[in-house]
Amino acid sequence: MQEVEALKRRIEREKRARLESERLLEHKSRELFEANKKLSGFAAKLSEEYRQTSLELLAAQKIALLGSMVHDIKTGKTTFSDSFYILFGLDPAHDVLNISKLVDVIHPEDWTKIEQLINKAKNPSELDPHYHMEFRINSADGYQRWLDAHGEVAFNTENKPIQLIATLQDITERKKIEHALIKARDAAEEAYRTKSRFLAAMSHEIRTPLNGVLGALQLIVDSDMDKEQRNHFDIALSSAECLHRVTNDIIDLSRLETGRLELELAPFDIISLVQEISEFWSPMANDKGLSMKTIIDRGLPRNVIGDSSRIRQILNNYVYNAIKFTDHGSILISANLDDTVKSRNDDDITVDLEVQDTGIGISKENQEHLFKDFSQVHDSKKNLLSGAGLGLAIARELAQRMAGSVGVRSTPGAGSNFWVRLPLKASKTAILADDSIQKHNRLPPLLNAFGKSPRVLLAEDVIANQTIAKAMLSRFGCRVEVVDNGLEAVNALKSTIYDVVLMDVAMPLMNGVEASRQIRGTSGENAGVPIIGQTAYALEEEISSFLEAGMNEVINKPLKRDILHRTLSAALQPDKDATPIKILDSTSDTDLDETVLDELKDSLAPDQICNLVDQLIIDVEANAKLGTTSAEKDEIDKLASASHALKGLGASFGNSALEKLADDIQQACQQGDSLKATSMTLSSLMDVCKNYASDLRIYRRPLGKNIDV
Amino acid sequence: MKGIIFSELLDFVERHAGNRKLEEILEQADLESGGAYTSVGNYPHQEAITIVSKASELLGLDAPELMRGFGLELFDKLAIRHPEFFVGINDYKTFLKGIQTHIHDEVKKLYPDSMPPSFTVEEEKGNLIITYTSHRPMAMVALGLLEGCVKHFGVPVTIQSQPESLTLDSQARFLVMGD
Repeated sequence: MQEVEALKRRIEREKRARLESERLLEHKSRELFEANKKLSGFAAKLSEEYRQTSLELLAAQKIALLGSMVHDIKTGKTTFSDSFYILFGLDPAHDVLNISKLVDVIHPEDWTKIEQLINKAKNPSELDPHYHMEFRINSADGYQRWLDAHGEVAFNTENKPIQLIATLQDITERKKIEHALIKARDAAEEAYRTKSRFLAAMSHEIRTPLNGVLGALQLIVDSDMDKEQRNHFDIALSSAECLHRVTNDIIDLSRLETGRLELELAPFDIISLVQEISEFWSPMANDKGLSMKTIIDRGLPRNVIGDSSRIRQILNNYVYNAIKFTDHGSILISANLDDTVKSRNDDDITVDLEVQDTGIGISKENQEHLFKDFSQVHDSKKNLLSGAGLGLAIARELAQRMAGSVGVRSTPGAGSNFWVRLPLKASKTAILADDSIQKHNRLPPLLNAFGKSPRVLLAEDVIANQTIAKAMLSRFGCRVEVVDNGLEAVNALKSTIYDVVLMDVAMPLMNGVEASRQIRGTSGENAGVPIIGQTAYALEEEISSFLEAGMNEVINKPLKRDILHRTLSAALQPDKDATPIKILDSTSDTDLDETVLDELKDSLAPDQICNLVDQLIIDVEANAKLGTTSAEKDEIDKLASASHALKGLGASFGNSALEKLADDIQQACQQGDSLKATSMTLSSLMDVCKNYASDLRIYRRPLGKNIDV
Repeated sequence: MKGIIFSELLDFVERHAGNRKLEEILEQADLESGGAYTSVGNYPHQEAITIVSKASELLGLDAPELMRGFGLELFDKLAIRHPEFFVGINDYKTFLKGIQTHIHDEVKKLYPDSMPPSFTVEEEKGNLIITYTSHRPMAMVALGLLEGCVKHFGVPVTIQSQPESLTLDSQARFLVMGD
C-alpha cells in the first residue's frame, strides 16, 4: 500500500470516528437532558412529599401534644418543631425560644433540674444517653400544665456525640388521673389501716371482758348445778370460747392481710407434730364418741424445715372442724410424702397432710366457697354456725404464704377430707431428741460453804420473772428473798448476809450494774458476795462492762435450770474448778417457747405453774393495754416502761418476737421518735402480745381448771 | 468492549509496525466498524481478536505474545490517563487487590452496559493468587497488564500462569511471587 493511500485511509478513518463521536455526543446530550428533566421532576416530587410529611408530622405532634427538638453539637444550632413552641405557649412564627423565655414559663420549683440539664448538655459526653424528666409550666392561658421530656444523645460511627434529640409531651391529663389515683389509693390504704386498727382494737376490747366471762365461768365450772343450769352453763361456756376463737381468727387474718405475718423456718419433727395434734384433740373427740387415728407415710422424712407453728395451726383448724361436724365414726390425720412431685434438689419434698372425717360432708357448691373469708357452712340439724368462717380462710392464706395449697374432697353424708399440700425441706440435722430424760433429772440441792442451805437475794422487777427464779431456787434448796430493784438490793445487803445475789441487769430506780458497783464499793461483810447477773441482751462488750462493775458471772435469760444450778454451784463453792459461763445458749424463735415453760413445770408444783402462766398472761395483757393507751395519749414514758416490761417478759420466756418488737419501741421512745413512726411496730407488738396471750391460754388449758384470768 | 481499548490497540500496532502496515491490517480485517473507533463507544471484542490475528499473520508474530505485549504497554497508557486510581497507593499488592472494587466497580457505574472481567486476589504466604475470569478470551492481555503493573511499581517479581502456556483463554490463574 502506498504511503499516500495509507494516509488517505487514515484521514478517512478518523473522520468517521469524529462523526461517530459527534453522534454519540449528541445522543449522550439528549440522554442527559432527559435525565435532568426526570431528576428535577423527581426532586419536585420529593420536596412536595417532604413538605407533606412535615405537615403530617406537625399535625400528628399537635394531636399527640408532642414537640420535638434537635440540637446539633458541632454547629450549636437547635431546631424546634412548631408544636414544641406551642407546648410552651409560644407562637412558632413570631416567638424566639431561648433560655430567658423558658425561665418565664417553667415552674420555678422545676427550673433547677432543667437548668442542670442545659448545663450538662454543654458537655454532651457527660450527658446520660437517655434522660427523662417531668416538669410543670405555667401556660399562657393561666393553667399549670405538666410536660414530659425524653431525650437521647445521638452518636456517630466513632461513638462521638453529635446530636441531642428530645421530645416533649403534654401529660397534664395523665397527671391529673395519676394524682386522683394516688389520692384514691392513699384513701383506700388509710381505710384499710383504719379497718385493721379497728379490728385489732375491737378484738382487744372484746377479748378483755370476754376473758372476764371465761374466767368467771371457769370459777363456777365445778359448782353444783341442776341439769338445766348445767346445760345453760355449757352453752355460755362454749359460746364464750367460740367468740374467743373468732376474735383470735380476726386478728390472725388481719395480720395475714397486712402481710405482717412472717414465716419462721426451722427444723422440726413432722411425725411428732401430727401425733401431738392427735393427742391434743383426742379428749374432745372421745367426749363425742369419736376415735382419733393417725397414718404416717413410711417414706416421710422425720426431720423437715418449715414453720411448724403455722402448719400446726392449719391442722388444728381442720381437726377442730372435723370433730365439730362429725357425730359418729372417726377422725383420721394422715401425713404423706408426695413423690409425684419431682424436684431437682433431693432435699425439696412435698408433703400432703390430710384430715378425714366421717361427718356430714359438704355439698359441691359449698365446697367452692369454703376457703373464702367469712364463709360458713350451715348445719341445718343443729342450726349452728361454724364460727365466723375465718378458720379455713386463714388456713388457705397460711398455706399460700408457705407456697402450698389447700383443698377439700367431700361427699355429703359420707364425710370430708381436708388437705394441705406444702413444699418443705428435708432437714439433714436431726432434731434434738426429746430432752425429757434431762428434764426429769433431779438436780442435787445446793449447799453453801458451811454445808447449809444457801441464802439467795433475788433482785428482779418483773413479777413473772420473780416467780420463775424463785421457783427454781427453792427447788435447789435455796432460801430466797426477793427485792424489786437495785436500790432495794443494796439496802438489803446492808443488814443481812447472803451467800449469793442473783441480780437482774435492767431494773427501775437503780439497775443491776450500778447496784453491783455500789455493793463492791462498800466495806461491809457483803462487799465480796458473789453476784450473778442475768440479762437478755448478751452483747460481748456489755457483758464485760457488767463484769467490770463487779458481777462475778452473767447468765442469759430465759433462765435454764441446769445452767442456773451450775453457775450457783460454782459461785457457792469457789474452790471447785467450775467452767465459767458467760454467754449461754440463745433463745428460741417461736412465739410460745414451750421449752421454758415445760422446764419450769418440773421445778414448780402444778398450782405454781398455773399461777405463773396466769400471771404471765396478766402481765402481757396489762402491759399491752398500757402500751396502747399510753401511745394514744402520747405518754412516751409510760409507753417506754410498758415496752420495757414486755421486753423482759419476752426475754424471760423465750418469746424473741415480743422481746425484739418491745425493744424497738423502747428505743424509739428513748430516742424521742415520733409515735407515728413507730405505729406499725407498735401494732405488730400488740398483735404479738395478743397472740402470745392466746397461745398461753391454750397452753394453760390442759394444766388445770382454775383459770382466773 | 470499550472503544478506548480499540484505539489503544491501533496505536500499539501503529507504534510498532507503522501507519501503512496498520491500514493494511485494517483493510484485510474487513471490520464492521471499518476501524473507526471513538473512546466512549462500544464495539464487539471479536474485532480486537480479528485485528490481532491479522496483525500476527501480516507481521509474522505470535498472536498471544502480541496480546501480552499490548497489555504490558496498555497499563502505562491507562495509568497516565487515570492518575486518580493511584492516589495513596504505593505498592502493587494494594493496587491489584483494589482493581475489582476500585476500578471495575467504578467502570460499571460510569458505563452500566460494560462487562469488565472478574479479577479476584488472594494473598497466601506473601504471594498473590489472582483469578481472572472474563467472557472474552483475553487472558494474555491480562497477563501483560499484570506485568505492566509490577513494572510500574518497580518491583522484581516472578509471575507464573496456569495453564502454563496461555493462548486465547478466558480464564486463568496467576501466581505473583514477591522477592
